[in-house]
Amino acid sequence: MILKDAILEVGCEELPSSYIRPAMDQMVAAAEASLKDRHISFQNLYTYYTPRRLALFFKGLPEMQQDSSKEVTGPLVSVAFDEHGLPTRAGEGFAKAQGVSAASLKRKMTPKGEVVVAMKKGGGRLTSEILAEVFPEVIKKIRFPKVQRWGNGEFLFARPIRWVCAVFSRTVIPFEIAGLYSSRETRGLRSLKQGPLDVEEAGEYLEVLKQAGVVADPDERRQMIWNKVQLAAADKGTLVIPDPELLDDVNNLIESPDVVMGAFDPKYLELPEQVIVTAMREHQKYFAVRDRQDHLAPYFIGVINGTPRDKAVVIRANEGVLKARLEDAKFFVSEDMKVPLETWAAKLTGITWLEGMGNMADKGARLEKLVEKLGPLCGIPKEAVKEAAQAAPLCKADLATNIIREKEFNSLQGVMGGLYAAKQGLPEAGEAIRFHYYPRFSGDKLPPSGAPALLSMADKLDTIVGCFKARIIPTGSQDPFALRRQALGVLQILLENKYKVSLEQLVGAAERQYGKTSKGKEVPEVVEFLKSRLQTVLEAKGLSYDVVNAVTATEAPTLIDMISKAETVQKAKMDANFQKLVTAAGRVLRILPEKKVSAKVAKPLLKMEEERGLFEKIQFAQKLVADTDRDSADYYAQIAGHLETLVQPIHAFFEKVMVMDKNAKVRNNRLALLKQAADLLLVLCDFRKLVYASESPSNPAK
Amino acid sequence: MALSLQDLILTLDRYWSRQGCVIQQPYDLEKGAGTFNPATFFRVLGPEPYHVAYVDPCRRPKDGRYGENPNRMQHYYQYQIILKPSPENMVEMYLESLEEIGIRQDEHDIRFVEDDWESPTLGASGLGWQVWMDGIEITQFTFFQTTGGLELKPVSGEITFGLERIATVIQGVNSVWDLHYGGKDITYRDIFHQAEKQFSAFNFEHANTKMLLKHFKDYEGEVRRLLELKLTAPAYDYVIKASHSFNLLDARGAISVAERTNYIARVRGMAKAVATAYVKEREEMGFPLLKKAQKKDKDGQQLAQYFENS
Repeated sequence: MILKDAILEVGCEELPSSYIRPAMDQMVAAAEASLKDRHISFQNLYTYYTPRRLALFFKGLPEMQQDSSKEVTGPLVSVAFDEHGLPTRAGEGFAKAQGVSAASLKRKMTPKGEVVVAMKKGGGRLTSEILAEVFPEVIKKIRFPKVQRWGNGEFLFARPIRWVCAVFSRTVIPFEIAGLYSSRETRGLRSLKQGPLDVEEAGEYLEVLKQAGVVADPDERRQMIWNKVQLAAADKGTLVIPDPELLDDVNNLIESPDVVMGAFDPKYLELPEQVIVTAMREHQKYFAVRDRQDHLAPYFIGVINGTPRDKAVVIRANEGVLKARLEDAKFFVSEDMKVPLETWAAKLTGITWLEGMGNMADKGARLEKLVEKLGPLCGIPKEAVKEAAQAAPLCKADLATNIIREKEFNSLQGVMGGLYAAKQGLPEAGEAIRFHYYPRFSGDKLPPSGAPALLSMADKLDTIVGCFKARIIPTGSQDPFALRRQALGVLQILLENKYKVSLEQLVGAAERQYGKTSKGKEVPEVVEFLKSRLQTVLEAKGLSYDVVNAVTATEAPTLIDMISKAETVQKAKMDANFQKLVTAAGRVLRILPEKKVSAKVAKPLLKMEEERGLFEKIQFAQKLVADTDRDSADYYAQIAGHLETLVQPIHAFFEKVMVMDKNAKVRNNRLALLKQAADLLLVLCDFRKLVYASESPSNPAK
Repeated sequence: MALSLQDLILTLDRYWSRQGCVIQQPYDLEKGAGTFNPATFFRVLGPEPYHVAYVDPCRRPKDGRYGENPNRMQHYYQYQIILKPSPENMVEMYLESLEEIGIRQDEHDIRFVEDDWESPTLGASGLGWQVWMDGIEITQFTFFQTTGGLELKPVSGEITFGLERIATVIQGVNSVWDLHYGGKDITYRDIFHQAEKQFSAFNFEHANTKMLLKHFKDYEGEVRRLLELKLTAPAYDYVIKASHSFNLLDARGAISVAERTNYIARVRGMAKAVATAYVKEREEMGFPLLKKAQKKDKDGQQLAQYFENS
């Protein structure tokens, strides 16, 4: 079979850089699904893109769709044809439904008798015809965060579409979209002003663009940029600070890579390094470089689109812009440092934290008290608690400073507060301020233990509780304050530092700082919310989801206990004795109704031997559990051992005793007995939630 | 010799005139941006085509720096272009206009960087770019999607330059005050510096807040009254006046953060009412500019038909 290539290129005005990759992913998914539906396979699919084009290149397409003809069995011949051999209504109907004539129906012997069969035609269409259907579908399926219309049109896209190039082998795939007709035309780099260029054969696409100054293959482009950036740095005897995120960003901003290297006055090196790097990176998208002593060097590397006639002109202008930004930053920092951080903190009364939940100064005041409560609960050394309490009222102060109020330096929240605190002689508080936002995203590092960890935890708990009070509760994709991430942060800090504290204690303490509005109402729901995040943390530790479900459905005095329980259950899950416990516990837990059952057993009502036997064993096991040393490393493994003593009595009970006795008193007493057993079992986990792959131990063969 | 500021304006006027734009003159009220000019605010509404370019003085009381900042002033000039509907080659037209004023594409790194624009007071929004030249932001380029809270069909393309910014780039000076404006070595400082200092003092220290608060309320009432009289154009003047009063009050720090949102919403409410009234009014007139354009198209078609037949 001869295989051919195809190109689909959507040509646009400059797309927002962050939109490009997601759009390409959607195009790939849509193209793959549409072609599969239509029985067309291909060898490979490549994605090419720049700010002005989104392109799919299909390698190795057949000229025709695969044949998907098939035989469809119909009614018995005696039903489909009458005694004269003419088709009945049933016969006609079947033929019509299959899209064939009744005369073309064939006959076939089956065990049911002789039936009619239709040969239903499928496939065999030309690939070019199918691509003409698939290409516009693929474009229409792209979803962007924001879309617009343009001109007189109604079509919605991230920016105006100006051309569509669609070529299969050497022929144009004709279709209409957004008021345009597809063609073999593409466009090169704007500044070369070459006008439309023809793609004669799909396989020439990249080459045609290269001739027109455009590197459409994103990987090739990224590599070219990185090589040029490194060469430029080496030229000045410096090293680039690697920044893959920035590299991806600039890669999506240009079609034709080149770089310029400029310099700034070394006097600005007095500014904090983060400020300089942010000034270069956030707005201007420059790479920073370091000298051989690993100090920031007074240079920058900018990535530009195309090579200008005289780079010196472009460099001079870029240097001017950076100078203005650094000058601004210098002014802001010197103004900020004229007064202590306390003065800026006093201005926080004017910055709303959360509508109806007070301002940032209120938050600082709550945090100061909260860290003093949480410190002892978590067993944090007194000195660290003192540092955290010192940092708490200042931790948001930088929000009022000149530099953070500037949009481009906004990402330095915490960093600037920390620097300013350190400069005024509070390095420990400064460290706590700097790290109290950590972890800022999934996979970010955790705050150092001691004051930073404590303040970070307090801030996050306070935010979650406050949002729940304001009824800003995450649902589905709605989580404007990133509470899920913050909850995860709290749990990670707890686990990392092995703080022995219960979630109830933590949340309760945070809630009580809300003064007048503190009624404790939100505590249970916030605890539940944290627990729901706990599953993510535990699963990330390699614990299986069913174990996590089984354990988190029960209480534990602290999070560390919860982990230890989960680890114990995970380890024991495949043990034969433990599986017997799972089976027995399942019988008990399943029979108990959802509504509350009293656990008060009246001994005289226990008539049968098996009832009394279970009762005694429960009491014995309760004592064993109570006597177990909480501090021993294998506490929960011991508990599991104690619970196993209940296996035989439970089975004996269920074999002989009818729980649902007609006499209500007897019945309730038996339920109470089971309730006692259940309470004991649930110390470890909810056994019902454990999942076994093949043979289910909860339904043992008798 | 680089273009003086006035030659810059003349060059742009000539270029956009050749592109089929009406060259209008500044509107005689204090506005925060060229978008407030009725040549934009009204003309982008409804189905009637309109191509226009004009210079507009802008007043942003909060941006006053007593004439001490090299590129921030409370009074400056915008050059504004509206092409409705936005033509297919609008970006190319824009790049050509840059070449006209001496910014050649093969000499500079020109980039279209995503920037979605919104004017909460006008109930207007659009998608587009900041255009960067060698790392300097020189233009705002927007495809208008809504104005006065109304969805726009067709879409207008808007190009806005800060004239002083682009002139400093062309003339290679570091401060707007050193710009050559025109005449015999007349600089921007010679013309505007004194007033800039005085207006900064006025905006931040002396504007009469009690009077302005009252004015704001009065203007709001006036918009309602004039709309009832179907006097849309004067009603819109009072929206502009209310907006400027608000900007002055904001600069004087007379409006708290919470009140701020409320004031903006009030101006937006007025703008929406006026926009709705304007579209209705034009509809009752039968959208005259639409008819004119259609007639022109029809004449053109008939002419083409005639030549084809003969």
